Amino acid sequence: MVQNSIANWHCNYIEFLMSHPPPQNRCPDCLFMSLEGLPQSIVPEQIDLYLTINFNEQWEKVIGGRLKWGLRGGELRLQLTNGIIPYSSRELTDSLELFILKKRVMQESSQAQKGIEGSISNIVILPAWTGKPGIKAHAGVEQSSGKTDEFEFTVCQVTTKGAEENPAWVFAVKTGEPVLKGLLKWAKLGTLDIKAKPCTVLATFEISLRDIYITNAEGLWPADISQNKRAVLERMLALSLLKSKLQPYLSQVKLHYE
Amino acid sequence: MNDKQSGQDLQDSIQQILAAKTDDFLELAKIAGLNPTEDFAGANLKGTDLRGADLRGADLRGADLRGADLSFTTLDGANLDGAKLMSADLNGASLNFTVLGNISYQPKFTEQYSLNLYMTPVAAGFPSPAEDYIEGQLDLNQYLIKHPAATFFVRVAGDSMVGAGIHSSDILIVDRVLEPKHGSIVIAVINGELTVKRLHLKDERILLLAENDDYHPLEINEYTDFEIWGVVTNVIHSLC
Repeated sequence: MVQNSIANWHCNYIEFLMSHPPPQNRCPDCLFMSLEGLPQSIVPEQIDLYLTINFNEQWEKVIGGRLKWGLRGGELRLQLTNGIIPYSSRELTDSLELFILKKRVMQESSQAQKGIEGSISNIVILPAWTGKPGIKAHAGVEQSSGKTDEFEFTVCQVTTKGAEENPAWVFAVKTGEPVLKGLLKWAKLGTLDIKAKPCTVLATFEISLRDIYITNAEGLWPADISQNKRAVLERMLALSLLKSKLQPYLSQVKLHYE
Repeated sequence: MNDKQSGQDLQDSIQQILAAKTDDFLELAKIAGLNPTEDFAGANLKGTDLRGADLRGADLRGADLRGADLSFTTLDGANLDGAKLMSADLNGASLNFTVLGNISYQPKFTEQYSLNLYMTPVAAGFPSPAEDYIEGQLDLNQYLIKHPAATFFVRVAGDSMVGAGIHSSDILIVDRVLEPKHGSIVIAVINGELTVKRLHLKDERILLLAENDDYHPLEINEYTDFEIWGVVTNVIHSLC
């Protein structure tokens, strides 16, 4: 009996992990997303959904030049057939840290923190009131077994909305960074209650114009144009990019359970 | 953007904007086929000149408006939720029913923060009865800083100028436009080091004098690498 149950669990697990077709990430440098399901061992009709998502900037060729862009946010929408994710089992609804591995050093090295302000004679110049951008990014060092990982992380605010059959998670940049950058690995999204078979999950990551932010442009216009012209040109290109390449979704994952 | 025709259209639009004689934001948006009330949410509008623009009801959620000139811009009913407005100039901007939730904002220098100024002098000797007579409004920025673009702050470390009321940890307001004169308190660089001293100009000699007997005068000669950075106009001394 126990063995049968384990065998069934294993079978379900394998079945559910198969996404049909494979995940579509249309701009994988900018957004890579995967969704996986893991049936609970006690109640196999309940599947824990785990999200892995990576944000970064991406270069895009545009006529005679190129532009670099990233996301300030977006919506992960789930369309469920024969299943629901109850409100009570929704997770991932808070501030999240997206990690970026900057450097991995295989041996310990001493690092000295240097102050940013130096005292010269009897006066220290103040950073004053020129308008600092605020917290740009956080950084940290993690040491384990002879290697040192230096990483940065940006903070992303996630909120949830939508009905139990069509839940959605809204991502938005929270720190001073202009765009989302970093990896969220294997984060539990919620628990799917299967009501009947076949049960399908269609996950799409969708964006609108306000989520696109151009961070750099090369070969498209002179460097000395006015800020007004620059702002309008960037917006025009962002809109063109959205219409031509980023709609109706940026990434899509389908899961199927029988 | 792979479509040849749309690529050509895009190139034409870029050229039109670059060649435009105007720098008016709304006119440029029109050339680009953008709707200013809808298409600039989340946009990079850093340093833009939006003076006097009619942005009534515009969706500017999450827009980066740092350093933008929004003086006398009409933003009635606009949504600025999550917008960055550090150093933006909002002088005279109309903000009726504007959504300003969750904005990050540091006022630009030119904005006025006026507080009541009482006409009755404060008695440093015997106390006098308080009188509720307000002379007017006092804006500390305007009162203390005459040349914003040429003014900077420094923090003092040391006691060489205590006689002039300048103590360690005080903040000095320094104006680079004012001409240093005999008797001015100046910020100077001597052989690569910054210092605050009183300037003494007499008999073709230049001396930097401390206001504390523990410190000797510094004489500037032809071998001294010397430069005056600015004239100290005010001292901010914290009492708590």
